This record gives sequence, structure tokens and C-alpha cells, in this order.
Amino acid sequence: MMQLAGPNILVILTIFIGIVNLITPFISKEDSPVRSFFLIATSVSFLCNVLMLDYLFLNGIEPSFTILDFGKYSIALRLESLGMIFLNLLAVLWTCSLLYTIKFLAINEIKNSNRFLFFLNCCIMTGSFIALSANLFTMFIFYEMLTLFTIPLIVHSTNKKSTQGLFKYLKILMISALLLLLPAIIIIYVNTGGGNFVQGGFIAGHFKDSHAIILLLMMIFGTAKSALFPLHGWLPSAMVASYPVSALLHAVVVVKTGLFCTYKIIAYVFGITYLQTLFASYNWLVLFPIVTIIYSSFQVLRFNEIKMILAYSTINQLSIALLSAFLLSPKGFVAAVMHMISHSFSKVCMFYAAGNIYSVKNSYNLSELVGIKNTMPKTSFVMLIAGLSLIGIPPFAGFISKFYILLAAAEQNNFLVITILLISSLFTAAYVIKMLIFIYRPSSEHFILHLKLKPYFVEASENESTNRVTSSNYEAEKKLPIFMIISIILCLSGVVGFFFIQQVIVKFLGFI
Amino acid sequence: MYHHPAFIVLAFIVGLIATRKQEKIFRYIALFMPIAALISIYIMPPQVVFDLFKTGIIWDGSFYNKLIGFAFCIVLIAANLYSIGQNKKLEIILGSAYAASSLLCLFAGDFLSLFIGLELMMLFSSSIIFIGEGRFSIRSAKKYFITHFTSSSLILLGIVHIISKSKSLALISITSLMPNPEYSNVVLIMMLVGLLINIAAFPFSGWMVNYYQNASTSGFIYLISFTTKLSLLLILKLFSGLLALKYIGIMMILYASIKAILENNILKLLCYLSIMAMGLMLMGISIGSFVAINSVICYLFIHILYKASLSLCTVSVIDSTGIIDCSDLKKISNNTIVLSSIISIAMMISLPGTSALQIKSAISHLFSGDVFYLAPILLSLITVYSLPWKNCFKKHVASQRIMLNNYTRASLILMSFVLICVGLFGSKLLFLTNGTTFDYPVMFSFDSLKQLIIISLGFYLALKYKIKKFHTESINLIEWFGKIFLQLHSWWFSKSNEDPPITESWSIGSLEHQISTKLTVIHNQKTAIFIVFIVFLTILITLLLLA
Repeated sequence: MMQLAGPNILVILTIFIGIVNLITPFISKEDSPVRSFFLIATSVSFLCNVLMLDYLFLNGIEPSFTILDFGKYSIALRLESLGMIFLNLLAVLWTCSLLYTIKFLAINEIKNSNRFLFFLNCCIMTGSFIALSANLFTMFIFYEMLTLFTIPLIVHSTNKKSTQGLFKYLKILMISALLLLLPAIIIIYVNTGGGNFVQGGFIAGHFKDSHAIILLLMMIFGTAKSALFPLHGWLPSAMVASYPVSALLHAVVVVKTGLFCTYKIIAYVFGITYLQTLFASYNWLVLFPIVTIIYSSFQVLRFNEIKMILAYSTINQLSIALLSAFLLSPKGFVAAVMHMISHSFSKVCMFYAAGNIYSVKNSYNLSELVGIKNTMPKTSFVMLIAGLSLIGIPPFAGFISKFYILLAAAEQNNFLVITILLISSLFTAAYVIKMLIFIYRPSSEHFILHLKLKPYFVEASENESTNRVTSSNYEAEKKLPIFMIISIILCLSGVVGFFFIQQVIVKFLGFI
Repeated sequence: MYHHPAFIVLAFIVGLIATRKQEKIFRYIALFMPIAALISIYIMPPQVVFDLFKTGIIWDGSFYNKLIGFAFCIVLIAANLYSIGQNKKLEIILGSAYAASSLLCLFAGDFLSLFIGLELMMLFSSSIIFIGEGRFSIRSAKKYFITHFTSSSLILLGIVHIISKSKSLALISITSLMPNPEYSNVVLIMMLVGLLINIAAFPFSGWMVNYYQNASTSGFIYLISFTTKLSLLLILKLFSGLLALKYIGIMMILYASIKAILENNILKLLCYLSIMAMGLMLMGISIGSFVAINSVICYLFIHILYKASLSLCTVSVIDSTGIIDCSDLKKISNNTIVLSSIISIAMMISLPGTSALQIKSAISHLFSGDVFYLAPILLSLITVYSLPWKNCFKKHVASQRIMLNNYTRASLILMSFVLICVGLFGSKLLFLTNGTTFDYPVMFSFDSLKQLIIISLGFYLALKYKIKKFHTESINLIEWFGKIFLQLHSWWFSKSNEDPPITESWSIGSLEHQISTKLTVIHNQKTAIFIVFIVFLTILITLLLLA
């Protein structure tokens, strides 16, 4: 039974506000100002509530309550530092996602926006529950629910390609979770008598070292949302979905949930100290993300399709975050959390900028980006900043998290990790520069005048059947809805101002 | 914080961007910006330490840094003047940003500021090449970026290692760390390699020689003035006294000498001459004594100025005539260009009577009694020999008339004036940087005579013996590695895209394919989701019942 107290009410209220957003699409008209207002206002209220929870948490109040109790297993929520960081990220990106998605659906004439927005909001809410989960059982339930809620988003446009993509997506995520993660959780519950997250872990002493390592591997590979090789294949397959869904999957909720669950397992189930003793002779845990990094680095250079490049880039960056976490040191853990946040902002910017370009011009390949800098200069600039952040150029977000990871690895004299990280940055630079060159390549006036834009973005005086630009100074992005621009600006400010955000993250992580 | 010259320049850059459509205001800002930076350098305190969110940021306003900072600002004024004359607004903005990041790196007293400055320099210099509008500008910019990103990665490797061991961000002499077993020599050497890449040491000089020429002419002036000079200064701050630098320096001189003799492209020739001078200064750094460091800094100061002046003369000729090959050069009938060239070359070849001779001799005497004493002699000889004298003294050939706009003329006059002041009154002018005059154990008459003989010999050889010049390409090992990798990558993935042979083997893949194509009911989207959902519910209920 839930125990109602002041802080608990605030948590319930936060959840309730989030749930309101689920029904808003069904009680308002498609692309109406009323719907936009309610959705965004609700998400902003959610964010404000989360900020109030932050205040409570930083003042030592950690509300917790149980929703359903089945004896050993219970669905319970609790505020703790890692969860608060993830919840804050979700709250901020929810507002950005809604601002962007509402108008993206409208200008791209995507049908059934009610269903789309409902499941989008479900995904974010489920992510919030995962952030607040107090035990393994709760985490698992909502982890699986997240997989299910993303299904309608991936196959929103029902065609053969999206169905095939979905099949692969489900196959990998569900099978890995049911065959690896779930049995590991059951074993832990049976042997330890519970699964509540405890600072410093609770598993030490209950298993032999070899069994503990097997359990750890089962849980790491069971959370296939973190896209570790060879369970990474779902990510490129899921790219069949539209840009807001891809952003949601790759930057906002799904992959970050995978990372977050892995971090929670390391910090609150096993504990960093226990893991250090398990891997005292040699930390071969880092080899898994290293293999993934090398594999994804090679793969990303093959593609000219924008979405595939971004997919493998995500796999690469997730593995870097896991690499940092698998250093099994407090500094490595902090760096891993930093990288999770910095990557979210950078990748969201890239996806939304790519979504803008797609909305204006239907671009799928890199070669179709030529001429974009003339018609969409601000979007090109966002791609530039986000790209530089991914490479790790200061003073952007990517550099700060990379620097933390390098320091953590240097402290352990782990030159293998440092070398892999630097080589990975070089590969990242190669494909990001390739993308930026296509965007900023000088193009002749003749080329720009013959750019085929979507009808909505062609000047009014133009012959609409030809969909052509009248002058080389024409900025098609001026016709993009202001919400989409605001969304990108908010995400970009996260990339540029990450130096200040990282101070807050460090403060929260001080509680671990 | 606000007095830092880099931030002053940055603030002005914001003004440049805001006023890019207003010609007059844009020009005033572009010209006043370096002057404001100069003033801020002069009033900068010796050291500023502040704690920005627990990062110990240190700004070092020492005499050496100020001297080089002055040189950078003077070059920035001249480059901006020239670019205004060419109406290259984007070059001015990017060039100024490049200069700002150089100043950030120059006055850095901690590794973090230093690295941030280096990375920003890499970014802006790549952009300058990118907007070069040449056929190969984009490709060159990409390769340039990758090369410098590699060098930055190596430098970052060293930085994180030092910070993790020393627990401090402050700059320290790495040469003194090398005997310490706590520090990995391999990592420190990798850091040195990163810096050597940045000064275009052999075998990495290709990024300077091959790519700089693909920038625009005004962009070339910015490019040649900052990266290599600053990286040399960083080697001086971090690795002074390291013996290996002597050998690297001599290799640079030998390699660049051979290339300079054969090179026909004027811009590439300037790059090779620059590499030779870097080599000499690197040899001086290897000694590590007070006299050596003082001499190198002063020579670097003069080098920045005369190289910028000579580059200005060269690009003026290129822009006016379209000539890029030494063999196509003719007598130039423009007094400003001719006089500026004479003054720059006089400083470059260390003509007796100039302070350049005094300083170069001080470096030479560091190697007295050593075979390396020949290095400065070789450098002077090759410098004189490689210049296209013969073209300028051709008889019965009409001279090339060149018209300059006022801004170009002003930039040439400014640089000439500065060089005359530095050349004739170098040691006395140092009071401007709060420094002291310097005296060297130089045998003035001997060194002057020696230099005169070398210059005369070089001049005679240049006029008497003509070697057929052509366009050379310089080595860049990083580019070679990149090409090898890309070849392997495309070979590997072209092989893996072939259809696998059809075999009668049992494999899970073919079984899955069989099941999924023949039993369509499982492959149906809705049924699949339904089945998964039922399985999930079943497991959940089972667990709850078991609990």
C-alpha cells in the first residue's frame, strides 16, 4: 500500500501530470493550438515538478512508496541520485520532443497523430518510471513496457520495410530481456531475498565470484537497449521510423534507458567496490564495449545514408559511455553519466536538424545535403555545433564528457581505454567532417536554383508544380514552424552550456 | 578575465559578425581589434589565477608570452588590412578567430586552456582552408583537420596522463618529468610527437606545404603566422633541454633545404623556408639554457614578423598577376612591394647590421665546436640560394607592373616599418614588453663577415647554377596511414558485400529464414506483437503467483 506523505504526494502529482499528457491528444483536434498548448504546458509543468523534486532531494528528502506489493516482488518508486539525473534529462527532453514532434507531424502530413503522440508520451512516462524504480522488478516491468510502447511508433507508417525493421527490433530486445535479464533478476530475488536498489550494491556475499560474473554478464547483455555488440542490430533496423521517433529512440529514451539500467545494476545491485574485487586481476569487462566501438567505427564509414550514419554513431557513443562505466571506478562512473547526458543533447540536435532538412527537402543521403547551407543556414549551423560536440571539440558537451572519461582512464593507467577512445574520436571526426563537407560545400547559383524543395517551402510567387527556389539567398527554413526552432535552440543550449550542467550532475552524484 | 586578449578579440569578432553588412564599421572594427588586443597584452599582469568551478585556470602574462603576443597582434593588423583590401570578410572573421584562439593558447598557464586553444585553432584554420575556393580546398581542409585532430589527440593523451599524476592543471616542464618513473615516457613522447606534427616536422610537414597553398591568398597570411610558431613555443615551454630535439631540428633543416631548392611554387617555398627556421629554433630549444631560450624567443619574434611581411609581398604579387611559380616571376615595378621584400629578405637572411644576425649568431654559438654549428650556415646558404633572384635580375625582360590598393599598401608599409624598427633597434625596443635588453657573447665582426660570405656565396650560386624547379609534394605520414586504412576498409567491405555461396549447410540463419517465409502467421506483425504480449503477461502472472 502506498504511504501518503508530503513528498510522496509531489511524486504522485508529477506522475499524474505526465499521465494527463497521455490523454490530451485524444481530447483535442489535430494540429490545433489547443492541443499544442496543453501538451507543452503539461510537459513544462512536469519539468517544474521534477525541479521541485530536485530541491527536495538535494535537501536530503528521498520520498519512496510502493504502488503494488506482491510479497517479495513489488512495484515501488524511490528518488535516488542516478534516477533524479535521468528524470531531469527526460523532463527537459520531453518538452523539446513535444515542441518538435507536434509541428513535424503537421508539416510532413503524418496521419494518426493522436496515436503517435499518445505512444510518444507513453514512452517518456515509462522512462520516468524506470528512473524512479526502487527495485529490479519495477525496472524490468517498465523496461519491457517501453519496448512495447515503441512498437506503434516504429510501424506508424505500415510498410514492408518498417515491419521488417520492427521484427528485428522486437526479436533482439524481447528475447534478450526474457532470456537473459529476467532469469538473472529471478535468480537474484530467490538468492538474496529481494531486489531493492541499495547504494553500494547488495549482491556481495550471496554468490560465488564466478556466478556473480555470469549474472553480471546476463544483466548487461539482457539490457540490449544499450546496443552492445552483438545485440546492437535492432538500432539500425529501428531507423525506418520518422525522425522524431528516431530521436526518441536514439537520444531521448530508449538507448538512455539501456544505459541507465546498466548503470543502476553496476551501482545499486553489484556495487563498484564489489565489482572491483571481482575483476581485480584484470578488468576484461572493458573488452565488450571496445569491440563494439571498433565495429561501429568501421561500419559507420560505409554508409552515405544519414540515418544509418547516425545509428552507428549512437552505437559508438553508447559503447563509450559503457566503457567508462566498466572502468569500475567512481570517476569512471561519473564520466559515464556525463557522457550519457552530453550525448543526449548532441544527438537530439543532430536528429532534429536532420528532421528539419528532411521536412524541407526529403533528404536521405549525404549527397542530398549539398546546397542546404544556403537554404537552411541556421539548421546547418546546428548540425555543425552538434557534430563538433560529437567529435569532442571544446567547449561543447562532447569534449567535457570525453575529458572526464580520459581522466578516469588515466588514473587507472588504462592506456588501452585511452587509445580506443582517441581512435574512436578520430573515426567520429571522419564521418562528421564528411557530413559537414556536404552541407557546407560551395554550390553554384544554378544548383541552388534547381534545388527541389517540398511545396510548402517554395516561395509563394513560384510555380508550385516545379517546386524550385527563385534566388540563391532564399531561406526555406524561415517557413519552418517556430516550435521546431525553439526545440532545437533548447537542445543546442544544452550542448553549448554543458559546462554548467555538469556541475549539477556532479552535485547529484555526490550522493552516491 | 576581461583583460585577456583572446576575449577582447572574441568580443570584437562578435561585432564583426553583427556589422558584416556595414562596410565602414566592419573595417573600423577589424582594424581596431588588434590594437585593443595589443593594449590588453601590455597591461596584462604576470599571472592570473582563478578558480572556475574548481578548475584552476591560470593565465601567464610573462615577458616571453607578451613578446610573441605583440608579434601576433601586429601580424593580425597587417593581415586584416590586406583582407579588407581584398574584400574578404569571411577570412577576416575566421582569421581573427584563429588569432584569438592562438592568443588563448599562448597565454595559457594550464593544460586545459592550452588544449582548448589548440583545438579552436585547428577548427578555425581548417575553416580558412575550406573557404579557399580552390579546386582542392575542401579536400585539403578535410586532411588538414584530420592531421591536426590526430596531433591534438596525442597531446591530449599526454595532458590527461600528466594531470592524473600531478593532480594539477598547471603547465610544468615535461623534460624534468621524464626521469620520474611515475610518468610513462612513451606517453610523454607521444605528446611531443603531437607538438612536432604541429610544427610541421619531418615526416609530417605535408599538412603545411601541401594544404596551405589551397587557402585563399589572404587566408595564407593568417595560416602561416600562428600554428607552427605557437607549437614551437609550446615545445619550448614543455620540452626545453630535450636532446632529441637537436636531431629532429637538423632533420627538418636538411629535408626542407632539399625541397626548397627544388620547389617552384612560391607559397610552398615560403613554407619550406619556415620549416627550416623552425628546425633551427628547435635545435636551440634542445640546449635549454637561459641564453638559448632567450635567443629562440627573440628569433621567433623576428621570424613571425618577417615571414608575415614576405607572405604579404608574395600574395600581393599573386593576386595582381596570377603568378604562382618562381620560374614565371619577373622584375616587379612597384616600389612598395620591392622595398618590403628587400627588408623582409634582409631579416630572413640575417643581413649584417640587423638584430636578426645578432640573434641568429647567438643560436649558432650555442653549437660552437660541434658539427651542428654547420646547421645555421646551411640554413642561411639554402635560404639565399632558393630565392628566385635570377628572375628578378633578368635582362631584356619587361618588368611586371603591379597596382596595389591602399589597404594592401598600408599593410606592407606597416610591416616594413615594424621590421625596420625591430631590425635596427630590436634590443632597445624590448622595454615595451617590460623586458630587459639582452646581450650575447657575439663576436660581432666575425659573425658579420661570416654571414656576408655565406650570403655572397648563396647569391653567386643562385645566379650561376640553375636547378630546374618543379612542384613538389611533401610527406605527411598521417595522410599515408589514412590512405592505407581507406584502401583496406573499401577492400574489406567490397568483399563482404558479395553474395555468400549457396551451400547445403545447417545454420540457424537459413532455418529462421525458412520458418519466417513459410509460416507467415508468425511473421505477421499484429500476431507477433500479440504473441509477445501474451508471453510477457504469462511470465508476469507466474512470477506473481510464485511470490
